[in-house]
Amino acid sequence: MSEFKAHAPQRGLLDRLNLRHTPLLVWLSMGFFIAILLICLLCEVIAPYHYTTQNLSARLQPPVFAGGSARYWLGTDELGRDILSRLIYAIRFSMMVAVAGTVIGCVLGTVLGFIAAHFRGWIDEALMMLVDAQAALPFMLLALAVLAFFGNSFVLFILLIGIHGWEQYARLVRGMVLSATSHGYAVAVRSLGAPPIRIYARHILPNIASAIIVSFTLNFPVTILLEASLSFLGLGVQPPLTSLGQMLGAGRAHLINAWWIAVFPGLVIFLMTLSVSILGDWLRDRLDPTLQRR
Amino acid sequence: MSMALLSAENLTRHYRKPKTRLFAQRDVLKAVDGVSFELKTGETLGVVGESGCGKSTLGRLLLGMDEPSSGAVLIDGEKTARPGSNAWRAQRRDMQMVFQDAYGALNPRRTLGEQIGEPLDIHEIGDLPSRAMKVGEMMDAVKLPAAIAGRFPHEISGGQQQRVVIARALIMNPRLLVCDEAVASLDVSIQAQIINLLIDLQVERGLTYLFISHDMKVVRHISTRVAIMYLGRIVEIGPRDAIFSTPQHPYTQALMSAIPNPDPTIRRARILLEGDPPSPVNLPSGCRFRTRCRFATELCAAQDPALRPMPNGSAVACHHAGSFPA
Repeated sequence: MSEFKAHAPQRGLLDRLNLRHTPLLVWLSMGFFIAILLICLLCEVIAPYHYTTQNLSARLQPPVFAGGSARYWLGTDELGRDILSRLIYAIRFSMMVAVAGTVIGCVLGTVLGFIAAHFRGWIDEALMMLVDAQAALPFMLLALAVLAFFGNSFVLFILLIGIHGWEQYARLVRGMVLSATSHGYAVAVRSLGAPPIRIYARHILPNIASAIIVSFTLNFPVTILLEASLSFLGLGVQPPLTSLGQMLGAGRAHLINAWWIAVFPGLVIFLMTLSVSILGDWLRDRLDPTLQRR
Repeated sequence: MSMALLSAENLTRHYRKPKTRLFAQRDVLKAVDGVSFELKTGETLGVVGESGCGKSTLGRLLLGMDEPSSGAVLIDGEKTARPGSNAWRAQRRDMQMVFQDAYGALNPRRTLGEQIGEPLDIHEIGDLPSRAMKVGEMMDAVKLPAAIAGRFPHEISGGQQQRVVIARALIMNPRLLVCDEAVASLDVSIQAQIINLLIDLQVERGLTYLFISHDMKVVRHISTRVAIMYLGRIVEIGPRDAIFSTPQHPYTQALMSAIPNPDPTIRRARILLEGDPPSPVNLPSGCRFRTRCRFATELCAAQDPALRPMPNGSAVACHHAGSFPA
């Protein structure tokens, strides 16, 4: 225990991340993720063409390394649109949806978790029943039904993706708040006369934040995949807008004669989820004090 | 007669245990079961008893951290507010608590200075510079070096952590301090430092203490009066010297005989209690100590004894106290 006290908490965040002893794989993931972020920010500058620009005389051109011309590095699709440009815009769109969706889920779940832990009783039971219901229900089915009924709008799509995953945060936060409020510093601060809001915001939240951050990074790739799946099925982004899933879905028809339309977005989805997962695992190992004891 | 700072009136706290079977009756755990006493300004009441006798629950009830099942806690003759209400929060300025686990009672992510000054912030007392000054004064009063104000709880020793908790509890100038096993987790030399600090602070500030402990030596050192608890009741209460030199209740006598004596030439007869205390869920009929008492009679099984005054100034809940065979 004393050893734990001596080594564990309260060093700066950078210190805790211990960058010097970081495996190569994590560096690669970090590099890839930063590249993705740059692409998102600099879309207009990087992309050689706009994602809707067509060149009907240059349809289904192969990528440059498979015998295509240098005008279209990654080839073109059936309407003569540049795959590279479309990929760049698709990455931005997919990232936007994934970030917005994950943030909504995280905030919603965290707030509901605090509410459940604070009020206990029937409010807690009702919320936990919702959590169980959500966890038991195949979310794809729900999403398909909602999108089919209400039509497809950008806001609805992001909200839907946000609702996915909230239950994990709610359960996690509720448990941690319950255990924190029943003993230790939370009881002490309460006995000083602090109102609950203060205890939650200033004392409990900072102490459980690292667990929430880790949960966020683990949830993020799932959200990317969800967006891709829905768009692949044609229920997500509508053309001419594009996202990784939508590109994948559109390329499916040409898999035999123009594999590059589907393979590049697929590759990006694969690498993005993989790198974020690796980063999340690494963050968890570094931020979780129970794993820092040795 | 001066009015009591705090009085407990027939305080009970029963916990309903979860059902074990669907149609089973809910068991009721009687953690505190009819406790009454008064606490006068400036005195220190030591509360002693074995684990599970309801000492800590009693402390929590007195501070309003928990709501009594029946009975009341009066401060200056007025009933305490409902826990969590605004009035209750305001009352925290008058009554504070020191915990056994000082490290656990401190937020690992805030500096010690921030935490000592937090009560001022919560109750909006003074402005920022005056708060900082108060924190400095308070750290001085509990003999903490001013340099550690910017440090974090895990960077200081256990004794210092307890000093921080005491400073935080006292910064609003409360009148009552409940110490729940405040020194139990410290080693003996640090225990002595903390206890002497508490005594000094009491003299300087006119504090009233309720000192909960299972350690007879510590209680003997700090208390002016002592209450002995057994299974949720006070079985004996009185001035410290009366309790320690002429214990009346058979349970108190057994406790006293268990205090180690440093003088090896003195051989005292130890009174050994048989078995474990009964479960607070199924209390024995009549006197709750009778199952382990050497002197139990039929009367003890039939009637629950009430506290009655004894010639030595204490009060005892025992039918036969004062008339035991020597």
